[in-house]
Amino acid sequence: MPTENNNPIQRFTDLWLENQDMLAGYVYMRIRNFHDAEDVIQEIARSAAGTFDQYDPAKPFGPWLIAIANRRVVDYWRKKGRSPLTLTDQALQDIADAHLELTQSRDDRFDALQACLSKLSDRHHHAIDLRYGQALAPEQIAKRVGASTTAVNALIYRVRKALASCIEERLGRGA
Amino acid sequence: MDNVPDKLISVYLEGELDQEQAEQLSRWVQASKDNARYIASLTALEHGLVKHARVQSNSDILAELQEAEDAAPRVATPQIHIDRYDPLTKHQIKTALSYVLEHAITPKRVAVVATAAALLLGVVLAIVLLSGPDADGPIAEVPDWPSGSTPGPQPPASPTLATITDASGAQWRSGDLPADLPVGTPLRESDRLTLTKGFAELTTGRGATVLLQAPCTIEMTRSDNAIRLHQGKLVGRCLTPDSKGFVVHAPGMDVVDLGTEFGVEADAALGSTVLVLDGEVRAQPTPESPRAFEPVVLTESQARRVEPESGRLEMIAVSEAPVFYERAPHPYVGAVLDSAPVAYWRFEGDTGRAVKNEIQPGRDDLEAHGSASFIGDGLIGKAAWLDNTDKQDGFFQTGHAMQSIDTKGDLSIELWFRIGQHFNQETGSGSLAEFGAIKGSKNHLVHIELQPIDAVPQWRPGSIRATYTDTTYEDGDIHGLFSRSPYAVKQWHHVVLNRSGPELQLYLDGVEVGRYPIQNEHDIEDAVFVIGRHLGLDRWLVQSKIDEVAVYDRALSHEEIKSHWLIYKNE
Repeated sequence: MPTENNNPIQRFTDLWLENQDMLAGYVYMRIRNFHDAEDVIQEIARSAAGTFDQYDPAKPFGPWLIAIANRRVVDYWRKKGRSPLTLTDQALQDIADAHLELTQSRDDRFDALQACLSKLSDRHHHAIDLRYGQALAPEQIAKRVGASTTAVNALIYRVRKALASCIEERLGRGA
Repeated sequence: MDNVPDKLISVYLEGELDQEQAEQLSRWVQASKDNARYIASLTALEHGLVKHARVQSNSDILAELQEAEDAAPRVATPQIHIDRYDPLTKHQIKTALSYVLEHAITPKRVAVVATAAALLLGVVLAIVLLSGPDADGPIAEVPDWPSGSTPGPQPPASPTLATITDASGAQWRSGDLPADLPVGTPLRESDRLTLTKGFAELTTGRGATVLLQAPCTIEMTRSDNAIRLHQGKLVGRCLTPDSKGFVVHAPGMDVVDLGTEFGVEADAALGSTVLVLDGEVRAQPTPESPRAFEPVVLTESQARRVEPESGRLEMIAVSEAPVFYERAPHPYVGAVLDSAPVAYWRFEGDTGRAVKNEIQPGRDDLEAHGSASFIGDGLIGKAAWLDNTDKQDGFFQTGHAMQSIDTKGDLSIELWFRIGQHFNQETGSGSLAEFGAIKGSKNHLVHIELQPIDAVPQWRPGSIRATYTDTTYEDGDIHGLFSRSPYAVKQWHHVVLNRSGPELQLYLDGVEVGRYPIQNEHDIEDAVFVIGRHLGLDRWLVQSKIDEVAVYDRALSHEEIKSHWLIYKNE
């Protein structure tokens, strides 16, 4: 629960820290580039801090932040000179709402992710290391391991599903 | 949650949706909150994985920086000193924010403060998660990285403690050493190597051989008869008198050879495990925790694991021990493993109660039980001999609940067979493999069988036939896929049956021999996988050698199938 604090600086800081992972996940989903997403998050922080006096504390902070994030994401793609082929606005809103529901357990989620990663088989761990640790595209992984891109995509997606399932299981049982 | 469009989501996560797919996925997301939650959890996971990778990578850098800082004279006091970043608690970020809030900002300047806080957050994140040793910002004030290129005379190289003596598809990540480490590379004190792919053998100065199995991280100690295992698996073999007493230092446990062969696994979550393959070893506590447990001498097939939390030594069953390769596997086996099967029965041995599955030993739903025997002269090593001439029990069958394979999704069954003579009408068809329900005679999902040589023409005598779901015979219409030409006797054949979307595909010896539209989706419960017989029909029993049976929860690609076949053919 957020602590009651009359100091606006501390309040903003608390709210930001509470929501930053939710925001990071959401922005990453829209940008799909970790470094650019971090830049956009900084922009969002600037905007949010600059307009914090307009924030109605009676309402939840997360949706307010998401609204700012949506504008900054649009700015980002505008600067890029293109717009990504993406889901419909309604679908994005539904996913944003779902991200907000995940907020409270986000730290637990990362905790659970660490635990679930450690339970992966060596091969699945290797696949995750290549995809995320070494940031290789599926095509590059396919060349490296001598498999098809389809096979690599399928394997990585299967690992993602297994991790997601493991995380839900751990969170479900309060681990 | 509505039926999950796995392929669509996979494409989405890779950022490669086209217009039509984007609309399809949007409709699915909007169909239910559960669907939106599912996508949110996967994208959050995606971000978590990227973040985890950055944290992992930079934790190593920070640790080295810290070591460098400790070792070198201090040249400046950082404005915000990053002692340690805990990615789970974000303690460091909070500390840094508090620092600014308490020392640099006045309460009236909310926007400026918050902006500064956010910027600092970004800076701290950038420093902690993204930067290297030469990044801008406070961390740049940490003393220089110790350089190996200092001008002037170089110190003499430390003695060679071990040498890389063999490698199979090995790829390395190894700090100061080149990534491509050839056979013959000497290893010296403090060399730390990560084998990211394949297998590699080291031989220590005293003659112990160590087979590393990727992914694996080791480090050389000061001894020429010891190795430190940080993570992963190795098998030590000590056959020379000098190598007796060879030590593997694993987290929480030292394993001392007493003239033997043994496997050690270091796993951050599970702890360190030792399994004796031959001879004896002593498992003893490390010098850091000398009283964690009493030293114990282990003999063949005994295994122990150090619980990471308590540090105690626990007895574990051999079936729960990791799979250790005593030598680099055959290239074909490596290729199959690269294709990531969910089950892979090689028929080289059993676990005491079931055919050994190379992928997930001990998993009940993938344990294949049966009375068929293992014989030599298989495709690689041994093979299973399915002899159903008399007892009609020469087959293997898994447990009833195959959690590992989605009965509605794509799948692939890959196997090799070799028969001595053709079947005839009297002996019936020979069922090589089947995935289906145990109840009834028409509940198979996919099925591969050998046709009798004297079958009527429409049944393609001597061909291989594959079917999906119930085969219905109306107006003489025979469903299924048939190989165009008869299979040969006394010769190994490679067969792959794919269920790929709405199609069944049959490959024989690396070549696609036909496709067949799946007309009726068929859902079954309590599916089992059976090798060497037809579920529910006692007559359809094969008499054949069978080897290297793999099951995948996706359809193998044409390239993979061809490459698997070519490995055998080119030998």
